[in-house]
Amino acid sequence: MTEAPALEARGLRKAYGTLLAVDDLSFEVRPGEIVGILGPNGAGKTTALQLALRLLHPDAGESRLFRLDPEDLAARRRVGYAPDGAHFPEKMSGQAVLDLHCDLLGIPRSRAGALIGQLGLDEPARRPTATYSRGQLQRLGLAQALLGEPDLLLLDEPTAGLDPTGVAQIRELLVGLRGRGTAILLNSHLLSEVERVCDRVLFVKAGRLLRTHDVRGSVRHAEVRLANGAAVAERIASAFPEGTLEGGRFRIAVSAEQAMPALVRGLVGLGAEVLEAGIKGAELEELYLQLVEARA
Amino acid sequence: MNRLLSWPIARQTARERGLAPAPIGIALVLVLLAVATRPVSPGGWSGGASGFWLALLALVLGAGLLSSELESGHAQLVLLRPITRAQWVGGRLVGAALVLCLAGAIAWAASLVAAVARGAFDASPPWFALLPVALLPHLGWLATLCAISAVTRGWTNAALLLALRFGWFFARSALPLALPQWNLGPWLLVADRYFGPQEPADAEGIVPSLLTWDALWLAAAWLAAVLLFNRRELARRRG
Repeated sequence: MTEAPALEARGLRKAYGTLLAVDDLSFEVRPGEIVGILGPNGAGKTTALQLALRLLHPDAGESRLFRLDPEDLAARRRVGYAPDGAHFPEKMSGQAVLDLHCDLLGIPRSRAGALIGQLGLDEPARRPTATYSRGQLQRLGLAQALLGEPDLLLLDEPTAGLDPTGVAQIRELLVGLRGRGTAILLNSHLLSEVERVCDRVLFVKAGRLLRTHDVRGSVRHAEVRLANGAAVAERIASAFPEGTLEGGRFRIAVSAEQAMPALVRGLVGLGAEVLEAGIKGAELEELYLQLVEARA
Repeated sequence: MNRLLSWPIARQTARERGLAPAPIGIALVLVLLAVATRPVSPGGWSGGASGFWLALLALVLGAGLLSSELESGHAQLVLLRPITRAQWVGGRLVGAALVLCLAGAIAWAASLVAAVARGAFDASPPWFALLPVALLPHLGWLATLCAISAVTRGWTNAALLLALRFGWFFARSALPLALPQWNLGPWLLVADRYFGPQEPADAEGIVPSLLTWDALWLAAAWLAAVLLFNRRELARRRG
């Protein structure tokens, strides 16, 4: 990729008294790329996002949005941000909140209506935000972030409080936005979601970047649950010698999600009764445990 | 969009502050006072009890004017839009000021109608100028609350301003008695003319120098609010 980064952070540092929240953190997000930030609670992930947007003043380092200062209005016009647990004026309805943001962006209010429908906020949009559930607030936060059709989107725990349908919706939305060239920085605790949608992952601990992991370039693992694992174990072992079968679960490295149908067909052809099949986040999980939790 | 203020923010602030129960209640009291107790001239309504209620309205409208939005987290989102911090501060201040002016204008109109109905309307003073003259010091205090709110939390700006006003009142009254040998009375009297916005009209009419002082105070407080807010971090450290 040769396009200029949508977001560049160089040597960001932020301390609260003696607590170093972010320490010499550098990263970038390019157009059409989803970058995840992973780390334990208190690792400085949210602070990193806020520093990148200049919602916090860094003690050292700087960030640039589209090569501009984060407070440059031209840069802000191209940015969307959905914080974790977004709060809105309690007496305002969701519709009124989105209308206000449309006015501030100078875009037609009809854009708010379209997003309300897309994110399943038709009924809540008429109510004051004080009556919203956590998931509805998350959806409203996401809607306001998407209003200006941003080229750079920063999402802080966007799936927290969402039901499984909501999580799937957000996943599809992010993949669609990436396809349109949007740069996305995603802070999430859901390893499986991060592995499914992100191109790169930043592992952060105690405010420091431990490692950048290229998700797309790495080997992924398929996991298939079998009803009759013991009965077909020998046949599977000879057909897929690189795989492992333990307790009715067959695991094997695959290059991409597209390899799954052929794998399942192969197993069924061997007489296996497949109960469930999918790409698992075990590799990212193992890496997370090794790097962040410092387990061998 | 105006470089000094954001009108969408001003409209939202006016709705948020103007539709709250306390300002509505105070506005009703102002109208009742204007109709019931100030029948002689439309200029009379802004003094005495009405003046107290106008000051209280300014205090309620200005309490937590900036800090409430910052602490709720909504200001973070709004200030990531293409508006400057100065425009946001201007929008918040003007929105609250619009509510104060609207409440004052309704009470002023009620007073005018009551005076005409009773045949007591006195056209000799510049009655049309009495509304802005009466509102100007309260707008000055509102801007002061806005400036303090740029650096304080919650409604502490209102508490701080009240403490300052009562503290000054106490000092002005008690110090000459406590320290008679220092002859502080005349000095404090002079200083009192510069302690915040002043009532620009007296029994003899409008005093231009006080009117100018109030206008300067309003502009200075607005500028201070912008300068102080420019230094403030928008995000909070999470607990």
